[in-house]
Amino acid sequence: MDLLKLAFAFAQVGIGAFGGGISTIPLIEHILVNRYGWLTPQAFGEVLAIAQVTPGPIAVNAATFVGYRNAGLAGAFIATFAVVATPLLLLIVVCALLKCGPQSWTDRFRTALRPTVAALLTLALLPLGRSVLASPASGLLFAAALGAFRLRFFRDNPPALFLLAGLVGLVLWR
Amino acid sequence: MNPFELFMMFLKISSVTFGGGIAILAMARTELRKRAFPEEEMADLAALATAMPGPIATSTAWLVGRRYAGFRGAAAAVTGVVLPPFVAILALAGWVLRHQDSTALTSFFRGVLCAVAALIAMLVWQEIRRTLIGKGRWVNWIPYALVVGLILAFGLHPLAAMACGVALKCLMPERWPWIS
Repeated sequence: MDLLKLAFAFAQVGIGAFGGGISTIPLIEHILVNRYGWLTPQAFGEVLAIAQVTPGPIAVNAATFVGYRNAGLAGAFIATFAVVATPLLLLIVVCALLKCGPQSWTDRFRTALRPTVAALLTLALLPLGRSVLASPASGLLFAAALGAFRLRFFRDNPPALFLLAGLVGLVLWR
Repeated sequence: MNPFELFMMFLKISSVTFGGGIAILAMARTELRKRAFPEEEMADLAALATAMPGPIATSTAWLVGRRYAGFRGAAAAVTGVVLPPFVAILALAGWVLRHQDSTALTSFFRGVLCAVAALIAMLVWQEIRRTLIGKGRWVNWIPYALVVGLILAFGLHPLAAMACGVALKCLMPERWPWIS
C-alpha cells in the first residue's frame, strides 16, 4: 500500500517535472508536504539542500530520498522508477503519434509554457524564504551568495557555492 | 554505440553534472558532437526533451539511446543517467535520517538553502526579464498571475494550475495591437 502510494505520488511529480529542476519545486512541495504529509516544511528544505549538492534532477533526488525514508530500499526503487518511467511512457506515446519528425509544436508549446514556468520559479522561492528570513545572518548569507554568483566560477559550479554556504552556516549557527 | 557504451556515457555525464536539466543536455551535446551526431537531429532532440514532461536528463538519455540502439539502448542510457543520483542519495539518506536532529546538520542545511535561494532568485529574475518584461511580453503577466494565484490563493494542484496557465497562453491572441 505504501509502495503504491509512493508510485502514484511520484508519477504525478514526473509528469509535472518539465525540465526536472527548480521549476518542479512547487509541485514536489504540494505533493509531499501538503497532500501526503510525508515531509514537514523543514524536512522538505533539507531534501532540497541534499538534492542541490548531489548529482541528478531534483525530482529524481526527492523520489529516492522520500522513497527510502518511507519504505526502505524497495520504496527508493519504486519512487525513482515512477518519477522516471511515467514521463518516458508519455514520451514514447507522443513519439509514436508524431513519428518524432521535426516538430513545430515543440516550439509553440515551449512558448506557451514560458509564463507558467516563470510562475513556478517564483513560487519555488517561497519554501526557502523561511531559511533566509530566519535571522539577519541568514539574510546576509543570502546576499553574499547573490554577490558570489556574479563570479563565473560559481555560476558554472553552483554546488561549490552551496557547500561553502553550508560550511558558513555550520560556523554561524552551530 | 551499443547499449553498454550508451550506459557508460550517460553514467559519466550524470555523475559529474549537478542540478540536472539543461546542464545534462549541454554535456550530452558535447559528447555527441565528438561522435559526429548530426547537428539538426540534435536540435530536434533538444526541443523534444525540453518540451516533454519529465526531467530533461532522462528524456535526453532515452532519445539518444533509442536513436543508437533501439529500446535496449534507451533503457541502458536511462539506467546510466539515473544510477549516480540514486546511489548518491541512498548513500546519504541513512546517515542524514539518523542525524536529523543534530544542530550541526540543520545549520549546514540552513547555510546551503540560503545559497540555493540566491540561485533561484537569480533564475526568477532572468526568467521574468525574458518572459514578462519588454515589448509584446507584458500580456504574459496574465497567465503568470493565473498560475501563481491558483496555487497560492486556492491551493490548486500545481499540475492543474500548469494546465490552466498553458491553455490560457494558447488561447490568447499572439498580437495585442491595442496594448503594445
